[in-house]
Amino acid sequence: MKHWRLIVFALVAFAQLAVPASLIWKRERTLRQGHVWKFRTAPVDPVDAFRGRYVALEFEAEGQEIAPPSNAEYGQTVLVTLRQDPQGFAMIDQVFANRPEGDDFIEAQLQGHTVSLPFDKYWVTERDAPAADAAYRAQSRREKRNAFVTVRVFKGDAALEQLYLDGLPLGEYLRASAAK
Amino acid sequence: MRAADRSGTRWLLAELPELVASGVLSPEAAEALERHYAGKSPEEPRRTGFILSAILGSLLISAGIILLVAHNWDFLSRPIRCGIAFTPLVLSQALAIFVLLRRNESAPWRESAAILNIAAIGTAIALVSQTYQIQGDFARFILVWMLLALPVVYLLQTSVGLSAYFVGAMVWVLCSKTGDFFGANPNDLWVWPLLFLGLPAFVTMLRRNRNGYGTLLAATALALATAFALGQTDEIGARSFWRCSFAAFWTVLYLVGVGFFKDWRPRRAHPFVLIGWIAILSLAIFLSFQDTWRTHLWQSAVDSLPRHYPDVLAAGIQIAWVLAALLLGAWVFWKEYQARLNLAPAAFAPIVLVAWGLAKRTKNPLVPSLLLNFFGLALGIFTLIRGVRAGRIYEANLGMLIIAALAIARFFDSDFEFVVRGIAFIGIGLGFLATNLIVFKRRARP
Repeated sequence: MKHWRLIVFALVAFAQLAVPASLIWKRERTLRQGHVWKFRTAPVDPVDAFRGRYVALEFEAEGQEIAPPSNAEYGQTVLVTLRQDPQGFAMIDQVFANRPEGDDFIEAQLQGHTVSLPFDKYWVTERDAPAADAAYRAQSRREKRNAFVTVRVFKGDAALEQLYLDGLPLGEYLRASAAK
Repeated sequence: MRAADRSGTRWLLAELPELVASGVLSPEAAEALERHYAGKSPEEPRRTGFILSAILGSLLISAGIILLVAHNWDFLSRPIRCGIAFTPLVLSQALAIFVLLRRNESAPWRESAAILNIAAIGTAIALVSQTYQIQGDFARFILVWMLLALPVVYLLQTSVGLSAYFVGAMVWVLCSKTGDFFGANPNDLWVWPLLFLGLPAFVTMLRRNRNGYGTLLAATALALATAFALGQTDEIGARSFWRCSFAAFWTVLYLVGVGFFKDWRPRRAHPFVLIGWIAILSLAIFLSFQDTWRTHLWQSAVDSLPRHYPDVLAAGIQIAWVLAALLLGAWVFWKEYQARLNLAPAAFAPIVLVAWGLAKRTKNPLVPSLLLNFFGLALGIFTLIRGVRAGRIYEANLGMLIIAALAIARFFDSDFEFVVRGIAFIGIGLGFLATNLIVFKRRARP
């Protein structure tokens, strides 16, 4: 009686460990093998950008008009390939209902004639949160447009790597502005 | 001994000296009574207290761990942060194994180990997601969490864990937006298999300790989750049929309380009976307004001819609830005929079904609303008479209350003159007074 309970629990415990472990494994693979893309953040409404412990991100690419695949429904998950604009920032190239060739595509959600990218939060530490919020607001106002994120892309997975403000990673930027 | 009996025992033991002094009991009999009860009473409350404090302690520790790991220290490298995410999970698993091996007979140990483990699963996934900036959708996170927690509920037989599972299923159905159900949208109907997965654990709990507070907690969580699941199902299935499916749901809840928990506590009804009464009365009065039967859905094809199969399935689930209410009503009536339970509120489900059928046929909102008015009035009068006959003051007043509520509802329809309303209110007020007088007199009679 006791033994089968233990065996079942061992399997359950393995599954409990496997789920977060698989998240790590998949993300590590994307970070190691993925191609880097820079996504410029869209101008934001300063009041709305910061929610608690993360910066709410919006991207210029999300405003880009695309040609949806035929028979695609609103809200459906689609696969998106990317290209670079003249400044080196990512733009949406093509939108597919099925898996395209190669490794360099991401999953996104179809919103009519635009897509919503699968990353919209940048988690920050409790200590840095207020400063990060203020800095992000200042750097992504309409006249500045100095914020972007780097994203590693590999086989549909998109790993948000770093938020850059004024060309510096968030942490360095905060330290630099604190030192001023 | 049941918890509620203990206050009675204390009262009896305090009365003993006076009973002996007045010669009602012999000193020997008083001593025998004291011996009989003294040994039994102190044990149970201590055990309940221990379980409660163990559960509370585990919940606090879990909340503390979640807050600590949510801090997201940036000076720690990713592997170390992941290590921290796994630590509570591994520790809670070790504790669960210890409990399975050595403390399996102890409810506080099992509850604590299960709560800590379930909390640790969510924490580990959430912290890894935060560390790696993984942005999944919340519904999927809840779903994975609940599916990983479910076996723990079975292995450790935990009532709090089972309740958390049901609440998790409810949260899932509320925040699942788009998704797949055998190739069709929406995916809300998956909530029924989810709830069913927890059902055997619930049945085991019922068998083991039907009247315990842990079972009540799980039953309440199940009822709550089912209500929300049914609400979402009504959105997919025959939309106007929500009247019948919800009437059936509250009827089932009432019947379960009346029929399966008769011996809940001496002189106290099961909470489901109370909730059932309140819900049935509220819905009955709501549906007694004509406006609630005025809808363009009667003509709509969606209502009678669902478009694709999740809709048909949803309509099937709605109908199944009505059937369940009817069958359960018949079963409780047949089985408990001798017990003379008040099964009149259970007529709500068939009445609403008939009203819905009439509304659909005639497309005239007056007919179903009249039917509901008659049901309310009949229920009030029946309950009133029952109360008066049995000398139960609360039941007689409940009957009057139903009639009064129905009268107030009708005055919102504003077709009546003030004089008519005034006379009706005076009549109901006099009725209240007369009822109480009659019942009190009956009780006073030897």
